[in-house]
Amino acid sequence: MRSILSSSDYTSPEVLVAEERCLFRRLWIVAGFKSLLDAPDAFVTHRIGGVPVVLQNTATGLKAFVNRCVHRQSAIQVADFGQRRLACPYHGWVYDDAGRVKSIPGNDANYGFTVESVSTLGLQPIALKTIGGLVFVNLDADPMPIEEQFHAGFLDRLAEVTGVVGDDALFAKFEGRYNWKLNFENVIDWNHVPFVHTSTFASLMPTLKPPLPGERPASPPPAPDEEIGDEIRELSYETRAPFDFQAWPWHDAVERCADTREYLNLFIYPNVNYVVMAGAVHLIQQFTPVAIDRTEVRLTMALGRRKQRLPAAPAILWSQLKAEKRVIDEDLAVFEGIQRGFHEESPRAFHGHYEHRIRRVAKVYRGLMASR
Amino acid sequence: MSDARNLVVIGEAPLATLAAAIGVAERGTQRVRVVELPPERIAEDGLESLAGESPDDTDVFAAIGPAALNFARFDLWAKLRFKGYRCATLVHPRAFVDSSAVLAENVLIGPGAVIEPGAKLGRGTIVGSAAVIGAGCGISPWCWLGSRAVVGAGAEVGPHSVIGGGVHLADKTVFPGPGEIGIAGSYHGTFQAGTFIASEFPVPGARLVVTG
Repeated sequence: MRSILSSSDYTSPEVLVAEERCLFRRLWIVAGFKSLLDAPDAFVTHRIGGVPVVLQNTATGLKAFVNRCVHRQSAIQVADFGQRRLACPYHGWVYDDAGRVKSIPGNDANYGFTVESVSTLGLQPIALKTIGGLVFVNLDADPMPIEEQFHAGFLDRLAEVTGVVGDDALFAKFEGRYNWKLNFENVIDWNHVPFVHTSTFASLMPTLKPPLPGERPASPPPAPDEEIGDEIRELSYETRAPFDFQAWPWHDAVERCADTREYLNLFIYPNVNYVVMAGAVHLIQQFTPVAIDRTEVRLTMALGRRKQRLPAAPAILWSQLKAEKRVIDEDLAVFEGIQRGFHEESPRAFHGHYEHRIRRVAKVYRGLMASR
Repeated sequence: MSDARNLVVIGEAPLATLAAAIGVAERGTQRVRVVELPPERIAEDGLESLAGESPDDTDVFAAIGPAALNFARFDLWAKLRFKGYRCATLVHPRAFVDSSAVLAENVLIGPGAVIEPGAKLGRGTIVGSAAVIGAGCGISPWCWLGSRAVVGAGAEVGPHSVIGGGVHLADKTVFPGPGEIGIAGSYHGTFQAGTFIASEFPVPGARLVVTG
């Protein structure tokens, strides 16, 4: 079966413009761990659907705004993470908890604004929802209920898994030269692991080697395309891989979402692979398009809440993050090769039985892109 | 420290080999013994290998490399201290340490390294071969400075930092730990706390967001 998507879906700049409007500024998008925003004035910045976004812990709770000063449109918060009040670094305009202009340095001398003239000015608010330890935002002026995007059972599971995340975390971001959709297609494709991750995952999971003929029952043929569901809630789900992570003494020092050595995945459409290793190490892998052929990968790795002192937390996170990056680099080499190979007359990908999930993602994507 | 005391080096090569060689140069072959202990076995090890050694006449040295940002070496040192042992400070005979420099316990200075006047090296810090620690530097406890690393005069390196081989920190650079610079080259300025730079995450690297 040929892929539902064509090469232009991965290469045309117009497609990205439509994706930002139809997907990223319409759907609920993961914005990060709530535990990293617990401190007063803690913030995290993002770029979602082309829009700069800031999440800020204010005196009246967690808020999300467009991260752009109403004065001369500078970013209010510049760093990826930090702890700082809502004050523009360009000319010092300060905003209150609701995003309204609170004070303007030198107003009388330089601007001459009256109280009335600035009373209507403020940062554009963004809808925000917390599920367990995870914060979502939605840039739509009339956001859909989050239950329309995710099954209730999946949201419950997300809340359960992420509810134990603590405040020890390591963050990194980097770019790859490929289209972001290749990333989501890849994380739900378990069959690439024994081929691509021979020097990383394969050693942890020897049972992943490709089966010999007759060793496993044949995959049933998938439903024809017209019978594939177009339900967006089906795109986000949980899987487990029987890895055998080493049991470290520090595992007892943190809250774990499960007493297991497994590798747990929660795929969160459209652009997050949430990973839990041995129930103790949590990782948000987020794939954000910055151009049709460039993707920013954001990795936020955190441990479960500390039950006792764990001074070595930074060392644990650093070693885990480096290991994870080596796995991701193996994937990125494949994605960048695929992207380089696209051209105007590229034939569509050729799918087999097991790739029905990738086809369902494409069908839902087509529906979303046609909806606005 | 008296040369008449025995020395037991506990850890793994190559640091244990270097520590033992310095010990032999100071105290003679008969007084130095090496006990192999890889970092992953520190937690379970009861230090039975020291059963015949009294803290009254024996020094020890925790010779674990930069594993886990030097926390593995810290863990072993803590076990040794809890048993009552003193940890030696080992300076290679071909290193130069200015008389005004201050070296804490379980510090090792490798061959050809230079410790300039007024530098202070905290407990458990390892200085590799031909590394240079500039005048007035403050190197916190549990750091690792790789071979040919250069820390400029007046620089500050925070606890549990790994400064890799061939890294050059300019004068007055501030690198708060924990963190790592694993790519050789020149660096300057004041880094954010918890900065990690390595081949997997080249500049700007990774960063600790919050640490409890």
